[in-house]
Amino acid sequence: MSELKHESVKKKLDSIGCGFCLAKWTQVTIHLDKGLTHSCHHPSPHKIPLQELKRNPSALHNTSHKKKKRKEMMEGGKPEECNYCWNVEDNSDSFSDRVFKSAEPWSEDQFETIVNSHWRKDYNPRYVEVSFSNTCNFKCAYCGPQYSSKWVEEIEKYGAYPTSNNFNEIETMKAKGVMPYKHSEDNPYVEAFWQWWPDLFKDLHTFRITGGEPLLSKDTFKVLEYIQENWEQNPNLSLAINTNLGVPDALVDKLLTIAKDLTENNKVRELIIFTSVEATDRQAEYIRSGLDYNKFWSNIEKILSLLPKVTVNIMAAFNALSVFSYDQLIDRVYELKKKYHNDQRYWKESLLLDTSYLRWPSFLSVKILEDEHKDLILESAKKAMYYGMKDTPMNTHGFSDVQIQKIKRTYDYAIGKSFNYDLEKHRNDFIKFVDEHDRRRGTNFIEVFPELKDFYVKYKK
Amino acid sequence: MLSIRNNEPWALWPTRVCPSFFKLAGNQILGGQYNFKLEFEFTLIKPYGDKSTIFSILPIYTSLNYYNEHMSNIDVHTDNGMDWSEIKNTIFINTRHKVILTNQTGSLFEVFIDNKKVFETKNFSQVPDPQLVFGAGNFPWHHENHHYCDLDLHELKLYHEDVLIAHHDFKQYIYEKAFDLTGNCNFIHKI
Repeated sequence: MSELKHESVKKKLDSIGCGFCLAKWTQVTIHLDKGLTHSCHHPSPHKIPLQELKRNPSALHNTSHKKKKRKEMMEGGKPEECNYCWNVEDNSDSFSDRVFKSAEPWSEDQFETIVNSHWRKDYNPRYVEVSFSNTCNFKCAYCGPQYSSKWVEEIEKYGAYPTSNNFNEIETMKAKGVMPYKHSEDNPYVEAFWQWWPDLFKDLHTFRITGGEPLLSKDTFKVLEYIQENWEQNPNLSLAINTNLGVPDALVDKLLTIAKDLTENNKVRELIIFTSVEATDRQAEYIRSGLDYNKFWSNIEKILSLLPKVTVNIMAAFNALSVFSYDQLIDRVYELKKKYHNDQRYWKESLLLDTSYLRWPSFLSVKILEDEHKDLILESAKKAMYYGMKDTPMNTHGFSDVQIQKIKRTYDYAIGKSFNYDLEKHRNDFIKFVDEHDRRRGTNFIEVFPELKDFYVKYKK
Repeated sequence: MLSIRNNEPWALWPTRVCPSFFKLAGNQILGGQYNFKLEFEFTLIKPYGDKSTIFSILPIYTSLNYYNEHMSNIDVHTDNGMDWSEIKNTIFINTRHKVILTNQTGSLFEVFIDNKKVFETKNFSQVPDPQLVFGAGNFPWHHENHHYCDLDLHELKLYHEDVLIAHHDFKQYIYEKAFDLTGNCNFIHKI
C-alpha cells in the first residue's frame, strides 16, 4: 500500500479524532480459553465480564470496556491502553498501526458505517482471531502456560524456572483469574462464541484460529465443518489456521480433507496454514519441545502436494538458539518453495519463511549472544538474498524482499544498542534456564548446541 | 567459469533489498559520479548475427561489441552524448581477453583491452541504478538491440575507491547467481 493511501486514511481518521482507529471495531483477538479480548493486539487483553456475555454473546468483542474506549476515540480522545501507537505518532513521522490497521481491506470500507453508528452499538468485527483452548502437545522454550497446557503441567509439577523473574510462574495468572480453562471443563466463553458465531460468520473478512494447538480442539473442526456447510453465506472468507504440525496423523489428515473441500470447491476466498519452526533437526526439537522435525517436514510436503492452492507460512521466532542452523532452514525452505511452486497458490508462494526476532523471554533473545554468533544471522540473511526473487519479470519462487529484510532486521536488532537490556542478567538467566530445562526434560544442552559450549562455560562461572 | 549462451544474458544487478545490507550495491558505482575500476576476463565462443555484445552498462548503453575478427567497437555514453571507438584486430574468437574500465569522477574514463588503451573520455555519464549485462546489449524483455553471443566469463573484480567490493571466480553458484567472494552479495545472475 502506498504512502499516499496511508496519508489519506490518516486524514479521514483524524477528521473524527486524533486517536480514532477503526481496529477498535473491526479487529479482535479473543482468548476464549482465558476469557480475554483485545482490539487490536497492542492493548493488553482485558477480561470479558460473564454478566455481559449472558445477555449478549457479542460481548466477546463488544465489552463495555471496549465501548468506553470507542466513545473516547469518537470524542477526540486517545485511550491510554493504545499508547503503543501514540508513542509512534508522538516520536516519529511514521504512520502508526492505527493507520495501517484502519487502511486494511477489512477495515477501511467500514469507516462510514462506524462513524455513523452510536458508540454503544454492537459491531461485528471483520478480522477475528480466536483461541479456543490452550491445549497443546508442545512446550516451546519461549512459550508459556497461557498458551500451552503442557507448560501448565510442567509448572504445576516443578514450579517456575529459577530465573531472575521466575520465568513462567503461574501464581499471578491464578490471582488475576486468567488461568486457561481445561479442555475437559465447561467454558462459558466458548459457549458464547457458538451462540454468536452464525451471526458473526456472515460478516467476516478474515478468520484465524490460534491456540494452543488448534487441531487438538474439537471446536476447530466444528468451525471448519460449519464453514463447509454454510459457505454460501460468506464465500469470500479468508481463513487461516495455526498448527504445530506435530499432532497425530489422523488429525492432520482430517484437516487436509476439509481443506481440500474448502479450496477445490471455492468455499473460501483463501486458506493459509501457519506453522512454526526456527532451527533444524535436534536444535529445532530442543527449542520446540514436542516437535518431531522429520514429521514436521513430511506434513508440510503433504499439505503442499495435496492442496495446490494453499500457502504454508512458517512463522519463525528467531531466538538465540536459532543462529547455528537458520541457514540450513533457509536451504530447506527454498528447496520446497521450488519443488511446490505453481501459479495457483493464494499467496503466490508455496512456502513462506516469516522471520520475527524474539523479544520475550529476554534471556532467549539473540542479544545475549557473542558478536561472532550474531554474524551468523547476517550470513543467513545473505543466503536468503541469493535465494531471493530476481528484479526481473521472470516468474520466480525465491524469497521475497520482505522475507529477506526480516532476517536482516533480526541481525540489526541483535547488534543494536538497548540501554534497558541488562545483558549480564539475561545471560545468567539463560544459563539457569538451560540447566533447569535439561534437569526437568532430560535434555543435554551442550550436546545439542556444541557451538555454545564456550559461551555456556564462560557465563556459568 | 561462467558460460553465457545465446538468448541467456547475465547481469550484475543485485536486488532492491541490497541497499539495506550495503549502502552501495556494486552496480550502483558504474556511473560517472563514482571512482571505480572494473576488470574481467572473457572468451568469446560464438557470435550470432552481424554484431555480438560482450558487455553493456544500461540504461546509458556503454558497451563492447564484436563484429568480426578484424573489427570491434566500444560505445561510451558521455555528458556530451554517445562517443565510440573502433577497435581493430584486437578481439578474437576462442581467445581469452582482459577488459579494464576505470573512472576518476569528472576527470578520466578509460578502457583497456589486454593492457592496451582503446578508449578515453573525461565525462563518463552519471546514472542512477546502472545495470551491467553480459552477453547482450539489452534486457530480453525489451525487443531490440539484443546482439546475443556465446561467451565465457573467467573472473571479475570490481573496485570502489580502491576497495574490492565484488569478486567472482565463477566456481560457486546459488540459485543461478554467481557467488561474490567478497561477501558483499554483489552477485551476477541469469536474467
